[in-house]
Amino acid sequence: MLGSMSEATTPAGAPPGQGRRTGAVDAIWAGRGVAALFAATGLFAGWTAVQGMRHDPDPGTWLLPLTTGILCVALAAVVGIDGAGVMVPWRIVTRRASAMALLLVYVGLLLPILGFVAGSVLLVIAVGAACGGERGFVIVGGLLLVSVMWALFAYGLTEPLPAALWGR
Amino acid sequence: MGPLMQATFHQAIGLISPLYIVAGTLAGYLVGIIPGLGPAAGITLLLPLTYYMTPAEALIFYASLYQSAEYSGSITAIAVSTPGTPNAAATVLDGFAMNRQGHIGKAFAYSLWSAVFASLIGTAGMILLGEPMARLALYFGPTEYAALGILGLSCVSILSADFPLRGLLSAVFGLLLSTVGLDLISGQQRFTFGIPAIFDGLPLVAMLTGLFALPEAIMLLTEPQPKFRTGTARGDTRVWLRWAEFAAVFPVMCLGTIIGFLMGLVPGLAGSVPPWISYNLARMTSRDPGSFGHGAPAGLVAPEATNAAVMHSTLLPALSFGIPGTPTSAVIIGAMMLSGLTPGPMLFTDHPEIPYAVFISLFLATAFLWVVGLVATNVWTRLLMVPPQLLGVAVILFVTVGSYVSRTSLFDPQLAVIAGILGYMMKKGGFSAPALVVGFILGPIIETNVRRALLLSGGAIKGAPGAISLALLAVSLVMIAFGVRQSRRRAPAS
Repeated sequence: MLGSMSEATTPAGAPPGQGRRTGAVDAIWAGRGVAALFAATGLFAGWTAVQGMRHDPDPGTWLLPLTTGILCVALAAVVGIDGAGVMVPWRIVTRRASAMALLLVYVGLLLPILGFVAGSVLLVIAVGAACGGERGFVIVGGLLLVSVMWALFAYGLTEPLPAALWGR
Repeated sequence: MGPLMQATFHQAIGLISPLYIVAGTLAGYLVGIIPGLGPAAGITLLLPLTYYMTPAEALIFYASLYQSAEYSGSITAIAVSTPGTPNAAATVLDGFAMNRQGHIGKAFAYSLWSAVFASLIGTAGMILLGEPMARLALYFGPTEYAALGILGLSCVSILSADFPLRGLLSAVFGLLLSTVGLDLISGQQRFTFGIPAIFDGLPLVAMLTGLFALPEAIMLLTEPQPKFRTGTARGDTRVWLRWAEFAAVFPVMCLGTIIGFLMGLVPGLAGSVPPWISYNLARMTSRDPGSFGHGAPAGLVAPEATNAAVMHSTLLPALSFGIPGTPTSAVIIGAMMLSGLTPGPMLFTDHPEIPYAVFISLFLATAFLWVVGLVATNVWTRLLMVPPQLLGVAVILFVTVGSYVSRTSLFDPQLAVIAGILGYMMKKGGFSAPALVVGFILGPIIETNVRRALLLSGGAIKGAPGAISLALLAVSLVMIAFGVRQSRRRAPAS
C-alpha cells in the first residue's frame, strides 16, 4: 500500500513475535487512542456546526464541518471496536515517547527561548548522547548541519533574523 | 503541429531550467534511497524553496525530484532488501536475489534501463494526453468536480492504508481539518479560536512537512534501520546491460510501462498496487515462471517500468483536473498553489507553456537520471551507511526551518511538530497520513464545488445531477463498500 506497514501488523523495532509475548501496553499503538482523538474532534466540530447553523445566516458554511464531524464519530466508533493491534513492550514505548517529548521541548521551549542556533545545538547533543557507538559522528555531523542551516537561514531571511536565531 | 502549439513549445523551451532539473534529480536520488522518506516527504521538506523559484521552475524541480525518487527507491531495494519507497517493494524479490547471486551491477542496470524507458514513454504520453484531458475537464461543472474529488479521495483513502476503514477515517479527518479558517464563500471564521495564525486555515507547509517528514524522523531516531556496509555488494558492480540482455526483457518492459501508465491515470489506483499487478502478469506470461523470486530479470524489470510510468501518468489528472491521484501529486498540487498556480484546465488555457515546459524538462531529467545512474549508483548506496539518527536530526532541522521560513512565525514549526506526532501515532495505529493530507488538500475543492452547485440549483439539492457525477459517485460508493469489506476480512485479533 502507499503507506508503510503499520504497527498493527508489524511491530517495528521489536524482534518478530516479541511484541506479543512481552505485551505491556496496547494504547495508541492499537489505534484506539487515535480513533478516540478523531471521535472527540469530530464530536466538537459537529456540535459547533449545529450551533453555527442555528445562528449563521448562511448555514452552508457549516455543511462540511457537520458532515465530516458526524462521519468522524461514526467511523472512529467502528474502528475503536475492531481493536486491531499488537502489544508493544514498554521499553519501545518509552523510547518513542522520549523522542516525541524531545521534539515538543525543542519547538515549545528551546526555539522560543534560546533561538534556532542554540536550540538546535542542544537538540543535536541530546540526540547524539543517546546514540551509543556513533555518538561523535552524530554530534559532529549534526553541528555541521546546524551551521549549514544557519547559513541558509541567514541568507534567506532578513527581518526576523535576530529573534528567530538567537531567541528572546 | 499548429502555429499556436509551436509558439507554446517555443515559450516552454524558454522556461526550461537545467539547474532545477539537475538539483531536482539529485535531491530525488537522495530522498528515494533513504528508506521511509520517499518523494512525498522529500518534496514537502523542500517546499519552502518554492518561495525562491518561479512557478515553472518550482514545478520542474518537483517533477524531476518525483521522477528520480521513484527510481532510486529500487537502489535500496536491490542493495539492502528494503524498499527505499513503498512502491519499490516488488523490486526486492528479484533485485535482491540478483545481488546475492553476485550481479548487483546487472540488477541496478535492469532497474535503471526500465525506469528510463518507461519515463520516456510516460513523458511522451503526458505530452499527447495533457491538453486533451484539460479540454475534457472544461466540460466539468461544479457537480462533476465535487464528484471527481470525492472519487479521488475515496480511492486514495481505501488503497493507501493497511486497514481501509482507518484510511477512510483519516481522509474524513483531513477534510475536517481543511475547514479550519476563513470560509471561502461566506467569509465566516470556523474553528479559529481567535488565533490569528490560523485565520487563513492551517498552514499548508507546516501540515505537510509535519505529517509526511516528521514521522520518518521519529522512526529514524527510535527504530533499527537496514544497514549497508562496504563489501555487502559482491561480484560485478558495473551498471551496464548488453544489447541481448536488454532485448530479452524489452517485451516485459513494454508491458510494465503500459500497465503503469494506464493505472496512474485513475485517481487512487497509483501507488504500490500497480507494480505487483505488473509483476504477477510478467510471471504469468513468462516461459520460466519458476525463476521469479530467484533473480529473474523480468521480475525486476516489470515492476520498475510500471513504477516509472505510474509516476508520469499520475501527474496528468493532477495538472489537468487539479485532482491528485497519489499523496505525492497532492503535495505537488500544494506546491503549485504556494507558487500561485491553480492546477486544472485553466492551467492549460492560461499558461500552457508551463505544463509543456515541465513535460520537456522530464525528458532532460530522464537523460540526467540515466547518466547519474550509470556513473554513481554504487556511490549512492554509501548513503545507507550514514547513521539514521543523523538523518533524523537533519529531517527535524529541515522541517523546523522550512515551516518557519514559510511565514516567519514560530507557530508553524510548533504546529508541524504536533502534526508530526499525530502522523507518527497514525502510522503506528494503521491509519494513513497520506489519506489525511489528500483530504486536507481536496477539502476546499470539494466544499467549494458542492456549495457552488447548491447555489446554482437555488440552495437545495434539486434536479438530477449529471450522468458523469452519478457515475463517479457510484464508483466512490463501490470503493468504500470494497474498503469496508476488506477491513472486516483483515482486522486481526488484538
